[in-house]
Amino acid sequence: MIKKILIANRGDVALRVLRACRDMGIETVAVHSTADADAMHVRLADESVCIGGAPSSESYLNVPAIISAATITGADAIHPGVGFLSENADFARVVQAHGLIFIGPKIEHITAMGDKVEAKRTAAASGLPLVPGSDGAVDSLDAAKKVAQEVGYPVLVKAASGGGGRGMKVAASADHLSEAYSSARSEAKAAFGDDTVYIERYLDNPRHIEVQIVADSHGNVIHLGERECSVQRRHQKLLEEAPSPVLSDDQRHQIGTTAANAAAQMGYLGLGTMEFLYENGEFFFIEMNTRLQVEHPITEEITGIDLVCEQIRIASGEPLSVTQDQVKFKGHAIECRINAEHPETFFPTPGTVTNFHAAGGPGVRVDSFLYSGYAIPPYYDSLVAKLVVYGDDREHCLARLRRALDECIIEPMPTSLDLHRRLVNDKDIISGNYTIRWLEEDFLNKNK
Amino acid sequence: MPTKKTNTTASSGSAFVQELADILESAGLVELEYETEEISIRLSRASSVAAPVMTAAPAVAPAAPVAAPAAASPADTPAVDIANHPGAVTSPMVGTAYLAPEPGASDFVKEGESVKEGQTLLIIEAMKVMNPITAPKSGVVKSIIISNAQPVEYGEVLVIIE
Repeated sequence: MIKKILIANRGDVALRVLRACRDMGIETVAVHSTADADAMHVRLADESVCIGGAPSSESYLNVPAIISAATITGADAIHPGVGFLSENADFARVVQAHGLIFIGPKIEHITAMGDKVEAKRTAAASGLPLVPGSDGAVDSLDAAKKVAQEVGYPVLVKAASGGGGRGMKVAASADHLSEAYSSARSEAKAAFGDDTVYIERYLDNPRHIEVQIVADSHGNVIHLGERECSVQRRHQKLLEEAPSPVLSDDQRHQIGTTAANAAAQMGYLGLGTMEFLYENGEFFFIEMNTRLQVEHPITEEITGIDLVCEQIRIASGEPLSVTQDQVKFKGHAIECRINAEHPETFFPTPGTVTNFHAAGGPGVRVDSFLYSGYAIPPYYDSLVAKLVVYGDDREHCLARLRRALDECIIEPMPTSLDLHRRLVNDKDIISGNYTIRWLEEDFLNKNK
Repeated sequence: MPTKKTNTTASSGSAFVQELADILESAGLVELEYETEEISIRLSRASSVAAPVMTAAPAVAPAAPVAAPAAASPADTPAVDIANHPGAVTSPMVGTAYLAPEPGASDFVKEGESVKEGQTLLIIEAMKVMNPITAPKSGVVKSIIISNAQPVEYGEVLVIIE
């Protein structure tokens, strides 16, 4: 078993990994920027190493500093968390070259799934259904026109090196294709250093449903059900729930098995999430995330399985703690991502928290690194807390969620708590009748 | 030094102090001093009753609005001051600091020595690469804070130049 883990991340996920290490009796090393010297996980860790200045490039993306920190502290494994270097194959390579364990999937799969064109190819070969689209990259406007004609408008021009909702342009009809195509390529070049694009049909009004899979080094691959993540703003998830309110047990079993079989066929290792768009009873693969997901707690709540501990066990060479038959889905869970941003303008609201009070009571879990007196730094993403609530069924879960949201206090800055309070009382959320366009086109519009 | 924190309890502490007292006795010492990042203990025969002075790092309490956890031992109090010293030379990287160009060679600089701007004060080894740390200004080396082969973090005070 791994003995000492260096947590190469910050914020919510760093605290989450630290807690799993504590549960398993594993020593922890927190690496942090100067701006995060007082972060909760840094204070709780057995050892901490300041690795650089506030900008991520100087610290959380600073590979030599992170590796040096592992060397001087004697860590035997590195957990990359989410974002930052977690899906950076080069980083994983460097970690392994130093004789350290990279807690994550095989390098070949990080690479394969990082290139979205390649990912679709691999997915298709593994039997996953795809969004109708181009067969690989689209190199010219003429080729784009041809593909769009076949696939049918509207179409989406997507950056191969994008992902996570970035680098996509819609072309509503043939008239709009030229502009969408050229702007997608130039923006992709600027954002990702690679202007390779591909084309997919733009689905009318789909839901985002993703499947959690987990694979060990003994050939065991299972799925842990789906997560419904359609409540999004600018392609960033705000509220997630498990199970999805629209899938039947049969559909769940079917898509879960399909995803697990695809992962098995790839020879996948570790945690992975296959993201699908779901429309009219059909699933379409869009991408695979080869890491822990921010919204993993809702899967933990309904399955009773600690995903981070499972990740660490797998990285240590141990088999999965459960078989597929032993996986049972019980109850319903919802996660609200609490961001330090204005609930209406969405402007970031960093600053010193003068009053933090987490909700509590039955079925309530607050994953947060906030404490009274803590200064939320302005340099990183705005997620400051995840409110995860469990109930015996969806209605019970929503009732508890309303109760918990009323108890939470984060002062003085405005946060998305108020947005969530409005969401959980909205008739569409209550009925489960929402899609990926719902928040921006319906909810935010009608509440202006 | 990468900051290491351990919750030392009173019971584990007193057994250890007893051990030190035994060593003081059996080795016929007049005074014995023991220091780590977390605690500093000094036993002395000067008084009729050995008065162990032991201070432990406060247990980490995330709910309290305390700044970065700092060990309260006397040896560390200067550390809080020197970080703000105008002549403090801090580490630009994570690695291991060496005071001499190679084992056995004499140190780059000594305390009290005059140095010129740009002169090498020490080296920090990071991933097998030796990085010279040079004097940002001319002056006198007031104190060398770190010891040879000590792991250092970004921003750690290495040397004070006045």
